[in-house]
Amino acid sequence: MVSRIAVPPADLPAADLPVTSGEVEERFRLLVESVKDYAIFILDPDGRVSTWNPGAERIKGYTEAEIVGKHFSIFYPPEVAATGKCDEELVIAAQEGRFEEEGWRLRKDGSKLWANVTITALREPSGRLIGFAKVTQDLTTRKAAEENLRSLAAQSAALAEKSRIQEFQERFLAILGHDLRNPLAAIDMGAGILRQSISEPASVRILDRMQSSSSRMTRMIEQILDLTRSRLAGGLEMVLEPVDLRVTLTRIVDEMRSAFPTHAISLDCPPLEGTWDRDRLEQVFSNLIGNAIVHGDANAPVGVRATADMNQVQVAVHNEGPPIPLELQKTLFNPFRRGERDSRTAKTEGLGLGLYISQEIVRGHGGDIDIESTASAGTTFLVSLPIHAIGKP
Amino acid sequence: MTVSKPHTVLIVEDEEDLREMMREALEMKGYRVVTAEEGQEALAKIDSIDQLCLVLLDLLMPGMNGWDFFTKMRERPELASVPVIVHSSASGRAPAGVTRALQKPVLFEQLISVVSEYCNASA
Repeated sequence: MVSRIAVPPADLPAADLPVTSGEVEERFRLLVESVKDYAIFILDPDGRVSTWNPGAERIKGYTEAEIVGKHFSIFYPPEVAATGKCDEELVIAAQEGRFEEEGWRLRKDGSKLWANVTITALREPSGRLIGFAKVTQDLTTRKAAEENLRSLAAQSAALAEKSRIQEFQERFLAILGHDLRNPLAAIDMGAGILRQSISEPASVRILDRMQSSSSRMTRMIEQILDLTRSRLAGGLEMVLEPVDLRVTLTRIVDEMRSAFPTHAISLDCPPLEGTWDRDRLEQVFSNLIGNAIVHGDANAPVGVRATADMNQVQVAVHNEGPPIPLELQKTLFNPFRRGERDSRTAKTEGLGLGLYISQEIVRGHGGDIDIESTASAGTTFLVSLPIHAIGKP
Repeated sequence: MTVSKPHTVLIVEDEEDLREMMREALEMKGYRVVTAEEGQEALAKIDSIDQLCLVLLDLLMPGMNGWDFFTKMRERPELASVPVIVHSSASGRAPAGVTRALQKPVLFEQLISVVSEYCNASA
């Protein structure tokens, strides 16, 4: 398609006033100059600006004096202009009559505008190329609105996805936390009832195993629930209250002494009042002391020793025996650590999540767990806790 | 075991297997047991229970849940002093004022041990 400049009407009705080609050109100039919403200007065949209208000044920011004679690549971001795109546009317009696109352009002040650009080749009746008409519409506002809409749609989709994941997590936690426990309790209770009334040795053994299995599964459900809460549901929730650590440790050590009557356990703890989650701390120290008994030297006592300064409590749980290999120490607090399953022995119960959960609990109090394990000194887990833990905001 | 004047435990639990196992376990130990699937049924039965010594209350139940049941029960002066032990997966959210809150699953030994603290099987 080829546009021609200032084409006079061919057949004017007799009643119309005769209009000269000069007048047509003048009217056309007035039309172009009155347009404010479009930049309408002419480029010479090499792409240099040769006319300028108020719309162009408004949109691009250059005055006529500033821009006439400049190459139109000045309107393009430098990295785009450097690709030769401007020349290509002129080639296309010259070959096909017209080039149109939407893209980013630059204003005089360097700000970007999203423009609809049409470049039309201007030819003399003979066909000789005399330049290009360039019409640019500023669509920045529309583009921003579209971007805004797109961004809102993306945000909305992300929110919907988040809500879907949250719903799944809540359902998953509900299954773990509620639905699995009732049948387990029913199975255990059934075994307990039969165990009371049956004395035949084989049946008693079977029922004992059923009950120990249900206890074990209860612990595993608790561990998976804690893992899920810590990983997916924003962390373990701590219910902080005044706690005397000595009372807590004494109770756990007493329980351990009944459960493992052949193991010696020493406890050295002054009265230690603090603010912690009592049940969660019991969970931590039951885990650490239980591990020390199960994995330590059966002939050497397990030591539990608590000390405090102004702000901090430290509890060391110590056992003698072969050290934990250095490689394993690095991953000891990881959930489902690699190799754990293979190395699990009859001593090990649960899912190998105990230390991970203990660490999460201690960190949930603002503290930490360290480990020291050597052949000469044995193994010590050192729990540091702020005396007054501060819950999550 | 013959019990002349048993104390009675009210079990409010929606899951049938668990509810009936708890009944079996407690009856075997000499307690009298009344069961209800949810709070409304429990409120309907509670007046006719002779020698109520303990309510074992689940919280998450269809119909009237454990929180609402506990509120209604405590509004009645004659029931205000009856011990209520919550056994629930949501024990951390047990209503204020319950006697104890146990985390499910409450296994056999724990159930027997806890009930024996509040109820006398051979009065």
